[in-house]
Amino acid sequence: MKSMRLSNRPNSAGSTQSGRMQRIVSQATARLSSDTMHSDHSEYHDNGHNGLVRFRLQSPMTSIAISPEKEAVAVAGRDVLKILAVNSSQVREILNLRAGSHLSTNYNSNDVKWGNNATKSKLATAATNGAIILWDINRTTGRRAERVINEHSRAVNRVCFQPDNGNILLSASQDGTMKCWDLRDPKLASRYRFEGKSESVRDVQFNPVHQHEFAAAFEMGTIQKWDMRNPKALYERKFSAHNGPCLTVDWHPSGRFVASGGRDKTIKVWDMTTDSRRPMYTIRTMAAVSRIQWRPGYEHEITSCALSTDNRIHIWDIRRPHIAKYAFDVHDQTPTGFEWSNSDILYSCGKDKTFVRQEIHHAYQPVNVLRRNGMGWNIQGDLAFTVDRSDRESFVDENLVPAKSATTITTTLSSQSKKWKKSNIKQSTEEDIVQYIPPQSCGIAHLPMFDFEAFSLFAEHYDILSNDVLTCCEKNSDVAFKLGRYRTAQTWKIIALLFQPGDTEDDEEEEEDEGIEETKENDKQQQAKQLSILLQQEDGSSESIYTSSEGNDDDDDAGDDDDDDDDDDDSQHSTDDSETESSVVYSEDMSHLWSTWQHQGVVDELMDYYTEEGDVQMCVTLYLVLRHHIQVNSNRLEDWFSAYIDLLHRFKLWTTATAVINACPIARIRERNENATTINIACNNCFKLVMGTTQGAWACDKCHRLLNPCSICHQTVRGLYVWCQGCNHGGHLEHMREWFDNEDKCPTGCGHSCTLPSLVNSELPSSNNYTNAMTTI
Amino acid sequence: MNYDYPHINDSEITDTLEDTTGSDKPRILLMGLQRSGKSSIQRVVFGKMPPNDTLYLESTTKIQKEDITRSFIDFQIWDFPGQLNFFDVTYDSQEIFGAVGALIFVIDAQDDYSDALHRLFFTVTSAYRVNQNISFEVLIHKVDGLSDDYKIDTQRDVQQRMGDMLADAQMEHIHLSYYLTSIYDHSIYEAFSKIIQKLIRELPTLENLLNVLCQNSGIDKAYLFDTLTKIYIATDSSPVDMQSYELCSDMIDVIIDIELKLIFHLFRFLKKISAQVSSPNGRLSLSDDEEEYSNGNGGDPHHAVNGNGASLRDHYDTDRDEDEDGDNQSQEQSLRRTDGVGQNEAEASSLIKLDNGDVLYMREVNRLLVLICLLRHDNFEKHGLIDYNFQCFKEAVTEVFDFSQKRNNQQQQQQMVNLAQQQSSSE
Repeated sequence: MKSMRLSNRPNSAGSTQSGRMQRIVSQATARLSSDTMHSDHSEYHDNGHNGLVRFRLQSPMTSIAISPEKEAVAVAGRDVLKILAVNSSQVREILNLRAGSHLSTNYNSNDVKWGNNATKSKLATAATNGAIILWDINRTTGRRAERVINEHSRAVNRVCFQPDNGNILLSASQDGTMKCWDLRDPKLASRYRFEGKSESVRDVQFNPVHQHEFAAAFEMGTIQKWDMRNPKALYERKFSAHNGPCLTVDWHPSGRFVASGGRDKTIKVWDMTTDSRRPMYTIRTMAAVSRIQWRPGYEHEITSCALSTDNRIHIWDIRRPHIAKYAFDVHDQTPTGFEWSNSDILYSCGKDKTFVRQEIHHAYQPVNVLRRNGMGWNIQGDLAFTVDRSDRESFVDENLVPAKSATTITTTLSSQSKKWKKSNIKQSTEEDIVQYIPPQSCGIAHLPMFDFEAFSLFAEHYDILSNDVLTCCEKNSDVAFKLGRYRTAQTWKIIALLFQPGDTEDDEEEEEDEGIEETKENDKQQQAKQLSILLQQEDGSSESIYTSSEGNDDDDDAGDDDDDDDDDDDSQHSTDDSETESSVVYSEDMSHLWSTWQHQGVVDELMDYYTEEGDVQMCVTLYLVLRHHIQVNSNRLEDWFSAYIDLLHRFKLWTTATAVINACPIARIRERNENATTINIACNNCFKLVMGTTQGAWACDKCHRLLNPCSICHQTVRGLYVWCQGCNHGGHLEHMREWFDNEDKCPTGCGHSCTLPSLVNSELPSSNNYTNAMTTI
Repeated sequence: MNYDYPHINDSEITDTLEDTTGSDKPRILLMGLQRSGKSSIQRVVFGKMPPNDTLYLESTTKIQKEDITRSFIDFQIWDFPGQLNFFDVTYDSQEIFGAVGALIFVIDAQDDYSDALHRLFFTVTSAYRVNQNISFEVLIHKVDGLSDDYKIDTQRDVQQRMGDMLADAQMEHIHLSYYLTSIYDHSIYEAFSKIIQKLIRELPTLENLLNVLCQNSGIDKAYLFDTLTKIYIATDSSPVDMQSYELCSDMIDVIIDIELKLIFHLFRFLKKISAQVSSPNGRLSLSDDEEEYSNGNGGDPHHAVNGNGASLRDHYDTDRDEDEDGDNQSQEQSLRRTDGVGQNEAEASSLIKLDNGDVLYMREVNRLLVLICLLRHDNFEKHGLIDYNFQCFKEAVTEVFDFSQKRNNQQQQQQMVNLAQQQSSSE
């Protein structure tokens, strides 16, 4: 008796309270009355030119059902239950079942379904208070609500008629049970009761082929397959399908596969006949999936709508899971229910109070919005790219679909008549099906535009700091030569010659080593000419520059020009070429002056050349080597430096970058080193970063130990810290001094003899191998 | 095995059981292997410990019993040390498992769980023999380190292996519920919500009441939260989506923070407080805005100011703020008079507007429960209606709990009588 009272109580309490609540004020009733009064004025029709029709109702809807003859649609919501007649140009309200109903708004609808065959004029709605209501739309007088079934203690989430026998009704309820009624006997209680042994049932659906089977979706994320003929036993099959609640299931028209959707934003397709516990297909969507339906006539396509945040209805092809094939974007808020009238016409309703009739050509194809080809660089200058090689005609290219999965649904369908041979089942169970192979090809191109290795080697080995131009150039030239950059090496050599108080003999020898025929002219001018020619040459292998006959012709012409120029210069400054040739008499200062004057133009040209080439490394290095001899526009210099430093940072050559920043004469660049430099202290015990205050840190946050405590008094040392370089133990200067007055071993007991025996007795800290260090902690 | 511990603990258990016999509190047992995260769960969910601090928890060596008193849920959580075997003869398993409402078994998903599964099987079958009404809940815990695919695979594997083991022992009628949880997100709260909802007998009534409230007030989603633990003890029947749940439970944190501040500051200081509270939706800026509160939220200046944020206005009609003027005060006062209970406690309500046009509305049902609703901004225009409906809801909830209180008392008396009869007959 007691338990009876317990179970009865909730309903009565709920209904009395709810009765009171709605007795007083209910916006719903107010709405409802106005709705019936003005329904013709308030609703607006968006008479699409091509079949897109919107129909606005007074309140949000939750569900939609199409009549068996497809001439009418039932929409249901919190306080709406209407029959609409829909054609390609307009939507007309036929019947408002709420009007004149004795049922209060508490009986609002979670779901609506239209009966079939014997019950084709009947509707079933599932109410949030646990009732299932049967409506007879043919009744013209009296109550249209034919029967109210109150057998569930909690809200009913879904109802479902058996596909060919409209007298069998199945329900899924929040109370964890599914119940089945035979409607032929209006008095009879539920014929079967199915206990899922799980939490609330969110969805239930009959198998369209084997009508005694049904699938159910549970709040725990499982889906179960049941056989009605065996109601005593447990479920036949159970899949833990989703992480979080599973909200919807739908049988494939073949009666073999079930698609499920859940809050974890996935749609999964299951083969109900196999023992495999993995889904055949998984589609990841953008939002929690609240309803799904296979698109009639297209065996690979699933339609889905979201629980929240996404206002679109998507059509997916299971063979191409990463992008929707079509998307309808007609609702302003989340759509809550939809149903295909035929394979091209979709009716949907949503929280935005709108009912929409749409056709497939109203949907857009997300694939067409996306770019099919793409490319990207990495820092080494490699280029990765994808190229689409699919024909753009079909959404899924049959040739590219992986052989296994292509056969899965299709072959199983063909073999279905043979009662699913064992071999076929085996085939699809064990192996993971590769769902989709993208039709794009991708590749990586190594473009020889930037030699990363040479760059970093140069960056590391170039001498930029030395004050002696000659040695710098020599060294850099060597580096370049070893790397096989003969032209760069040559450039450095020439620079060395230019800025060297020339010794001709050496130069000539060098030139001969290079195997270059020289006309006996002034060395340096020749060098300069060569250089300028070298600059004029666009590219080509470094060797060919000197050997090509054209180059020689140019050489002569240019040489003549240069001769003239140089002669002028020389005469003005009373420095003769012949003099320079033989004289080593010039003082260094003089030679600097001279060379500065002499070669500024050439170096500028050189710099221009490298700037054109985009070789900031060379520009910066050249400038740094010659920084005392040439002038460069500071804006230009800043550009070079910042570009070069950026490059160095990108390749993680921090040391070189710092050196370059330090060497830079421009204050704004030098600031970089001062701004972004932090020195972190690591704990000497656990090696974690110590997050101290600005004054420093006393202890490690991680291991809660003091940092560098005194070995004697175990206090933190402020001021002078003294430690032995042999064993790394130390402490206060005073304590250490006292200790080592008497002892010669380390105070921590590590066994190290910190004092040098011979010097024990002589004057302390300076005499032993202690090293004093100032640490301001 | 050290036999000293069990004896000590044994005496403790009998002590505590003497205390609790006759009390109506359903008991939740937390079990699992060592280091599977039982104490962490307990501290995080019931002790408000930040998840990162659980690293420092010591291993539990004896049964820790915690009474959740300040919470609506009159539960006892027993945290069992993982290294002890409670089906040993030294324990009175009848005493331990006789009055248990739910047995939560925690499995470390990041570890090899074969041992844990054997232990789980053993625990479940033994406990089932003692008490067939226990609901068995399996937390596949610490899944924060796993990828989505791996999570579901793990669950499937655990479920499969347990199912096979139970089937082999011909105990497949024992039902286990599995949850994937982590203390670093809301999954542990959701799992506990579901576990505790199973133990609440009033759940269908509460759910129905919430359904009715939602329908009549245009509310999208309503949760009845336990203030202390952030567990929702009931919600309306529409599916729980994670975002709204996270928003609502974060709102509780925000409100509690403010409430704590209020205890120390006078109400008027709130006007000057501009606390920044982080929420999943970005940042919430807190301000107190009486005028707008009273004139029904025409326009929303906050939206313009906080692009990404949401504005939070918090209103407390404590008795201390008698010098505060504004007509909203009278509104609240009159509402309070209608409920007829002359309570001196503060009845908090608060309102957060989100920049997507939704409104989060919180009302205190009683000292331990709050109702949090998520609704569209358009529907919030009928503020008075919602408040009125809420009052009805509140009365209904109070009535429901009064009723079950009475029923419990009756049951207890009945039990006492039965017990006395048994004793007398045995004598």
